[in-house]
Parts: sequence; structure tokens; C-alpha cells
Amino acid sequence: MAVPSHDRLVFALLLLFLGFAAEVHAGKSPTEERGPDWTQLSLEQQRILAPLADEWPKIEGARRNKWIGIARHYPKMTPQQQERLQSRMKQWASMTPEQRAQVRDRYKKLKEMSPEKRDAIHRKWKEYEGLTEEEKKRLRQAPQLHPASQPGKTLTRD
Amino acid sequence: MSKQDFAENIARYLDEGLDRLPAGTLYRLRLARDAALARAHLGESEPGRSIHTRFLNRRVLVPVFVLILGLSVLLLWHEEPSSQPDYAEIDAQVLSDELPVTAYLDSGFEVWLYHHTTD
Repeated sequence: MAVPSHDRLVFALLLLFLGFAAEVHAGKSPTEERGPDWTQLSLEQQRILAPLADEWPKIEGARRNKWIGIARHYPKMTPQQQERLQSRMKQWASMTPEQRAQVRDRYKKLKEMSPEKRDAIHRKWKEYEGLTEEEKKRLRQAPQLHPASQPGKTLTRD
Repeated sequence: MSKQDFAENIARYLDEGLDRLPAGTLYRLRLARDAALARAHLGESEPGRSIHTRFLNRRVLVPVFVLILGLSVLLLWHEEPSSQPDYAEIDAQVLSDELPVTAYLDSGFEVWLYHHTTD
């Protein structure tokens, strides 16, 4: 077999590269593509994310990593914030991506407002919560605000 | 004219025609002959030119290498984490905020807030 040496070199490089690519791909698959399983989380992460224990197998890789990122913020929160976070985890995980995007968008706008306006909205929410279910239902059935598809605009109105 | 004479005439015409071939045609014929001889020679010295020499040569390997490299770069670039925004920070803020998540999605609250802030 008279294969020129430079051709053998190219072939060897090709094999080396394929091996490297396979290694990189294999190295990525368990944690980055599927995300860690519940048992692979640290005890601390399991404690923080406990409300999601049942849902965890159904959560896809990218979102698992996002929840781990959220858990990293947990120790820096006040006890009250920590309690709120844990009590809302399940609801947040069950929402559609569109709903989550809508909430994030409105939260960002609310954050840009002055502290006084934010406090006013918080107070209004408490008042709204005090309404009867009948009154709330009537308000939900009221004609859409202008602009029609974005009722959340009122949260950002000056 | 006998058969012999007829054959000699044909041979003479062919020889004369050969002498009148253009130089370019002669040159191309010589090149083709040399190439054929070289191939025949290679076939004799390396009987059954192997499949390895047919596929393990730069004409095949280099394009394959470049193709695989290109595809890998494309895949890696596509899987860059930057294409997947990191919502961990904002989600942590939203979920720990005083205003519950429901408030942002409750159309009744929107209507109520609208009327009570314009009054």
C-alpha cells in the first residue's frame, strides 16, 4: 500500500479531531443538555428547590439550570423573600413560557418606576385583593383596556 | 487492381495523412500515450491498486476534514449559551417580590387599577 505520508497525516488528524469532537459532545450531554437529576443536586439546592421535587423530572434541561441559578440567589434574600420565592415556585413552573415572559416584561417596567409609584401599586393590589370574588369577576369581564392586547400597560402608566 | 495493390494504396494514403497531422494534435496524442503507459506501468508494479490509496488521499480527505470542521463550528456556535438568555436573576427577583405573580396576569386588577389611578 503506497499511501503518501502527508495523506496519512491528514487522515490521522481527521481521526484525532473526530475523537475530540465525540469527547466534547459526550462530556456535554449529561449536565448541559438534560440538566442534573434531582439526586445530583446538592442537599442545599434540594432544600431550596424542595417545592419543585415532584415536577423536577418533567422540567427540561435549560430550565433545570435556570432553577439552579435561582437557588444561587436564595441565600442573599431576606427570610420573607425566601418564603415568597418558595411559595411561588410551583406556580411559576406550571405557567406557560408566554406567561412568564409577560410577567418578566411587566416586572421590568414596574422596576423602572419611582419607589412611590411602586408602593402605590402594591397598596392597590392589597385593596383589589379585598374585593369580593363577584366584583373581581365583573372586572375581569370588563372590556379590554386600550391598547386592547396589553392590559399590563396600566402598571407602567405615569 | 489486385487486392494487394488496393491494400498498399490504402496504407500509403494513411501514411501520407499521418505526416500531415497538425503539431498540436501530435502533441496531445503523445501526452495521452505517455499517460496511458504510466498508468499501465503503475498497474503492473502495484497490482490491485488498493482501496486505501483510492480514498486515503488529499483530494478526498481534505474536503471531508474541512466539511466536518465547518459543521462542528456551526453546531458549537449554534449551541452558544448566549442564544439562551439567562433568566435566573430576574426570575429570582420576580418570585421574591412583594407583588405576587398573579397580579401581573390578572386582567381584573388591570382594569381596576386603570380606573382607580385615573380618578
